[in-house]
This record gives sequence, C-alpha cells and structure tokens, in this order.
Amino acid sequence: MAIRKILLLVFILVLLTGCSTSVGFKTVNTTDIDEQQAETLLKEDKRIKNAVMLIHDDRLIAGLRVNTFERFSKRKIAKELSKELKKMYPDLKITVSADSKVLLETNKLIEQENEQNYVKQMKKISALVKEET
Amino acid sequence: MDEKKYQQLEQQITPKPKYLKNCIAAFLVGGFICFIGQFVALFYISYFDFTERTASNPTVATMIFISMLLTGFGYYKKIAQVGGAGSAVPITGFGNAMISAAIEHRSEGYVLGVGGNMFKLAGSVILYGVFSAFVVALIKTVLVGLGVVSW
Repeated sequence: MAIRKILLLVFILVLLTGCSTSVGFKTVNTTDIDEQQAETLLKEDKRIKNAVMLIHDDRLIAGLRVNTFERFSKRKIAKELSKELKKMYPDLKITVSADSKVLLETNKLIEQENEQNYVKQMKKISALVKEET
Repeated sequence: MDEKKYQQLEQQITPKPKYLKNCIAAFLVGGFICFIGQFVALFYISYFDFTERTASNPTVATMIFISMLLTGFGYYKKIAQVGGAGSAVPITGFGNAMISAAIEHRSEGYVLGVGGNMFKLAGSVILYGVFSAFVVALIKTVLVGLGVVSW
C-alpha cells in the first residue's frame, strides 16, 4: 500500500513540474531600432509571465504568456500592449498575441538562428494570428 | 397495502444513490477526458499550423473519433459505468451516443436501421447547435450592419 502512495506522489510531482517550465523574457533584435522601451513595457506588466519578442526587418512579433487567471482576458491584454507598442514604433508592423502558438513559434525561430528564414516565418505567424476560428 | 404504506416500503428498500461519490467520479473522469483533449490540442498546436483558438476544431473531431472507436470496441461503456455524467457531458459523449445507436439498430439493416437511427440521440444535438449558431450569427450580422458592434 505504501508503495502505491509513493508512486502516486511521484506521478503528481512529475506531472506538476511540467507546469513550471518557462522561457522568461527574451528579446532578439536584428535591426538598429531601440528595443529597450518595448522590453521594459513587457517586463513591467505584472500580468505577463513569459514573453518572447523578435524584431526583424519591419516587423515586431511578441508572444506572451499571461498569468493563469489572467488568461480570461488575454486577448484584451494583447490588444492593449499592441496599442502601446504601436505608439512606440509607428513604422513597424506589430503582432502581439497571448496565444501559446505565437510564443512557441517565435521561440523556435529564435533558437534556429536562421536569419534568412525570419521574414517568411514572421509573415506566417502574423497571418496565423489573424485567422478566425 | 394502501398507498402510504407502499410508499414507505418503497423508500425503505430503494438504495440511496451515492451523490457525493458519483459527483467525484464524474469530476475525475470528465477531467481526465479533458486532460487528454488538452494533449491533443497541444499536439495540433505544436506540429501543425493551428493557434490555441483554431486548434479546438481538429481537437473536437479527434476526441469524437476516439470515443467512437472506444464505443465500437465496447470500452466506452466501462468508462461510463464509472464516470457517469463525466463521460457524457464532454464531446466524447456525442460520439458515444451516435455509435451506440448505430450498433443498437444494426439488425434492422444498413439504410433503415443504421442510417435512419444513427442520429436518433445525437441528431437533436447537431440540429440544436446548427440552429442556434444560425440565430446567433443572424443577430450578430444585424448588429454589425447597424454599426453597434464590429466583427
């Protein structure tokens, strides 16, 4: 009986550690635009847990992960931040999304470190965000 | 034996349903089905071009397909025996309702039996869903046309 309890405990622990993986805040900038203010904007927002930002060419993509109970208003948060970023960088095409797909893909793109791929992939991510149902 | 006596007797004999136990079992089983569904959604998000929002469609289809297979092989009724409402309320219950009706009427032939009775239980769900979606879309179209809200 004791071994069952231990097994259950181990199972739960293993299951729960999966929730704690995080990428933190990451920014990659291949242009000479100042990315500091965007970074501080994301970092100072208490509702955001992780953020990955990629600035390349004339596009800015930010994938966010919001706190668990803020998920209910994640679209609103993304919209708000998108507006602020547009104010900061009027000539960039900005995509902000709290969808985990954006965070995942942007992170993958950064880790691949293949700059030729950036434009094509970033266009694809922006198109995905706009897609309805 | 008059009516009152009979009722008393009936109440004595009828076993009390274990509400709390049933609720917990339904919660766990339903939660576990959703847990699997979450993994399916994650699979579609990471390996295909679906976002969190659009991944729900293929996820629902996959879950229905899995429950249809389980019903056909006779495993779903075992889950339902433990889980009760927990196995009926998620979308998997829909696949179960369809296939079990099809199996039940198999002896009446493929067209009039299986074809005619397959949607006996699940048909109302589809009809209700389609109709209410139509009504909601109609209301939204009118509101957008009037300029009250935007898409």
